[in-house]
Amino acid sequence: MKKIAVFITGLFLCSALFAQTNEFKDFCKRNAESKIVRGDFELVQYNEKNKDAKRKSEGTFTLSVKDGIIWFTKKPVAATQVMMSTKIIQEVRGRKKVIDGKENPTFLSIAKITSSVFAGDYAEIEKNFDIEVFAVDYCYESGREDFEVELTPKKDSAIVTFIKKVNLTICVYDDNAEAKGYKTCYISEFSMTDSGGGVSQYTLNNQIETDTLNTDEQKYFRE
Amino acid sequence: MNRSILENKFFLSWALVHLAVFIFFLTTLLCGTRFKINAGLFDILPESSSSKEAKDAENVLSSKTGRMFLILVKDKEFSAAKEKAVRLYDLLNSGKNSEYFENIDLYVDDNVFDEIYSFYSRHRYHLLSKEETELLSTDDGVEQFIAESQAQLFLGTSTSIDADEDPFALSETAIQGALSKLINSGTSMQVLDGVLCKRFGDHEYIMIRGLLKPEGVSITNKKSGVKIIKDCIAQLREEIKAGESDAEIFVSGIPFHSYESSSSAQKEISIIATVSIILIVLLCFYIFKNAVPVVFSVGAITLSSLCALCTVLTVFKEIHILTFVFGTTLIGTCLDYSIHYFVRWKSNNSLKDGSEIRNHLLKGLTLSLISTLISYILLAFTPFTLLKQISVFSAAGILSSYLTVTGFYPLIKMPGKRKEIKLAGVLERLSLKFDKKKKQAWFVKLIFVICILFIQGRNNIKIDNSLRSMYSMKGELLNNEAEVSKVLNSGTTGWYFIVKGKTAEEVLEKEEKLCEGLADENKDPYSKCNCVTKFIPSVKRQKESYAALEKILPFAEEQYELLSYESADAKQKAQWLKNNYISSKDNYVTMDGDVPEFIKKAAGNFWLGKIGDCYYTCVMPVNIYDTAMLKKLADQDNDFYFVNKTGEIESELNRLTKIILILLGAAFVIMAVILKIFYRLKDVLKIMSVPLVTAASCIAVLGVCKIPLGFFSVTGIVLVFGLSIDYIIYSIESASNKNISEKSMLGGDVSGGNSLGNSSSGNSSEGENTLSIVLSFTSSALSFGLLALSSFNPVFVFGLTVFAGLTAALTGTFFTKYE
Repeated sequence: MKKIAVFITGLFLCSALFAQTNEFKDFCKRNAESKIVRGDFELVQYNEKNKDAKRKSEGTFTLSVKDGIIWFTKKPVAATQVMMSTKIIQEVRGRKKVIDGKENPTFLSIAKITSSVFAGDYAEIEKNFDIEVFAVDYCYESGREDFEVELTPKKDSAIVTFIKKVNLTICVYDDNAEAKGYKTCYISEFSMTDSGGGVSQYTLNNQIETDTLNTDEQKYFRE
Repeated sequence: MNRSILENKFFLSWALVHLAVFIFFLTTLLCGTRFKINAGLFDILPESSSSKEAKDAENVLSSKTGRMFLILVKDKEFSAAKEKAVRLYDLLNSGKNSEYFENIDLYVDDNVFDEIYSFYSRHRYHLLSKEETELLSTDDGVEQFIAESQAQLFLGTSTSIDADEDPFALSETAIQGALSKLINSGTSMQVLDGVLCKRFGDHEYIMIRGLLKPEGVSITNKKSGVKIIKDCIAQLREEIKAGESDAEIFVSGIPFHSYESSSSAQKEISIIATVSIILIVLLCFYIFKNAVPVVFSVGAITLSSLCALCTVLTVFKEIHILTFVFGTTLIGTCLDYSIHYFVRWKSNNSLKDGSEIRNHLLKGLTLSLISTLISYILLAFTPFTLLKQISVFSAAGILSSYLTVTGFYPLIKMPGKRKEIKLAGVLERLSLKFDKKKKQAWFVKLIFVICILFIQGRNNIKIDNSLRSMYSMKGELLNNEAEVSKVLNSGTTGWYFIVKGKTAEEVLEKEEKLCEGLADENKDPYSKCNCVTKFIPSVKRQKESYAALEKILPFAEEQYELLSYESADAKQKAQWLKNNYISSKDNYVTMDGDVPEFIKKAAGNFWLGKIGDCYYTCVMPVNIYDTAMLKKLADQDNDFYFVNKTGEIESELNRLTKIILILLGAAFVIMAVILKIFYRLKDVLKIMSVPLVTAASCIAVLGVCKIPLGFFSVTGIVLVFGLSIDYIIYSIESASNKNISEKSMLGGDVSGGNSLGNSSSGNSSEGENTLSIVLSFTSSALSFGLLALSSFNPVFVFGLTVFAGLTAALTGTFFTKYE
């Protein structure tokens, strides 16, 4: 359950966008308006106790407000992982494994909390996390503004047993980015530390907003 | 005087029998036997029809589940709910309270998940699921397994994998397999901030689980764990009220139901017994206007009850509280004998002393005793402990009462002034108003009424023992169970399998076979059931897992290279992995091994252990409602026992009901044969028509009241069967005495007194007899009538049946003409 919790939380938090605490509600609202986001990802995994043993992977992802998120890992091995509100699907070489959590309250409550972030449900996020904005950077030339946010699960939140903290780096670009078809605000990095000290560090690039899912994506979400 | 007493065989019989009963009882007591009063509701139920082995295992399971309880503390916020749950937990553990519980659990270690991951990591070579093990049986499957393990390392859920030691992510694969099964079974609570909780609706629920000590289940002594829980909850509710909070507390579990029903049964017994004794005493005072009959009648009842109690305890070493409930009927029956004696003692001038009264009544009393004993003794042949206890209790009590009346009462000094009891005269005159034809006409009318009732209630006249009708939850407890059921939604049906094996290993292997069958039938690889092997597989399966993994070892070097190891290092690490694999060969998981407490407790709920020469486990299907399929599965192996306890108990009660009805038929025939020795065939037919009418009226009344014929109603019919024969025998004996005295008067034999006196004796004898029967009926009706007011359904049905039967017996006796 711990793994699933970490994973669900991580996936949904991708779409969370907090620039600063007092503007948090606006970002949630804006984030909730995004329907589908595609992009590239790089993942580095390690344990805090042994930071030298890192595992790196990369691929693309698709984030759907309504359905969930798909990680298409390309390197070093090809694998697909689909995270939805009631189940996780993992596919390798055409063989699928499904963990169905629709009758499990732990699974469902974790999914609910994390999807609240995904859906921009400010009340639910604030109820479950302590939010702290601890660094702000701005580059005039690129028009990019970075925020670093730390989310710590509250002690009565369903994910507190599994997640120690979540760190986000949020980018907000000026209007030129929008003209090029890119998202103007998104999470560029997020790292999640589980209660055992395991860290998953995602870097998300080339994010593009769209309205429709392609056939492959539809196939996974309608599974 | 003393010498004459010792020569009195009736007195000697009375003294010897009572002495023997008490000596046997005291000897058993002094030999160290610990007698107990059984107050458990579920102990009155007959055993199900499973085999002996399954029964023993069922008993182990029942003894555990019968002591398990849970409490849910509900509040709007988690922290508020937890605060109250902690307070309740502290109250339950304060002082000597904890002595009543085997365990009470509120807290769950926050590190429980780490412990579980560590456990799967330690045993990763042995805990692959069956599906993964089968995958490794082909070359293509091995390739697939390797690819999936590589994917596992690089997906976002693999942070805790120690790839250095576990390059194939075996622990992750094993955990995912276990998680799939656990999630599928629907564990309804979640761990949060060190406690088990669930958010349901707009509220948070915190769970406290517990197990009472065996002696804590009892309600008959001060060690009632349920009472402690109720007291602690009451205290917390006071605090909640004072704090103006909306928090609520809900309880669930068999102990609460047992306590509720048993304590109310106890209260009812006390009330019924007290009220019936008071009313009967007042009635006796009113009729006899003398303290002697009242004092001795109460004394006789007390002696009979003591004698009955001692006999049951000596024979069974325990007595069920319901034996007392049905035993209250003894009060009425025992009193009958005393009434018949004291009515003559008070008013019959023709009977000079106690011996004459005894001789006058002896035949009637003896035949009455025989008929009652036959009814009761036949019950002792039923395969049901409660009935056997009732049978022995009542038989011993009635025998004691008979001996007291015939052996001790004649020693009581006769009253100075003996005069007719007014009510006897009234009843006699009433009786004389009905001549033979009128009585026959009224008897026919009685039968006609019974026939009408029969027709009206014909659709309900069937044998049906529904456990639901026997005990229905109500009030606060019903609300509690409804709330808990809604919140937990456990999906269990009360059906389960008992699995047997000659060894601990064999029973686990058999359990796996059963679970595979369940999975196949439900087309669900994660068979919806809870059992031991869900947590701890058989060693056979662990060996299969270990053996299958040997096929992936040649790929270890490649795997390490993928993890960015240099070729030489990868080779070295691969060799290390191989050595580690070999050294872990016998690192099997067993129930008594290094299993995390959380898993051990979860598996322990289904592990019944060694019983006799075999080992047993329990498999509980979840959300499966097809009993035919479950039975079919159980038929596949002689060591699978499908247990549908409710259904089995109901069918067992139905079987018992039929047996009792057959025994009643046998008693009817036996009594007819015995009576034929003493009476003409015509009289025998008249006598036996009354119990027949009585039994028929009971069945008809039950039908009209929409109560099917069940175990308790049929037991009631057995009792009235004996009582109705008593009434008719007393009446026929009274008529016989009257005829003898009239004949002796006509024959000019006046030696025993003047002709007027004898004539008077004959007439008043009929009045006295009618009075005795009416008083007997009244006393019995007071006892049984009050039982019909009981809120406990079996007692109510029993009381109603007997009351209806007694009324029919009295009416039938009154309208039967004897010559």
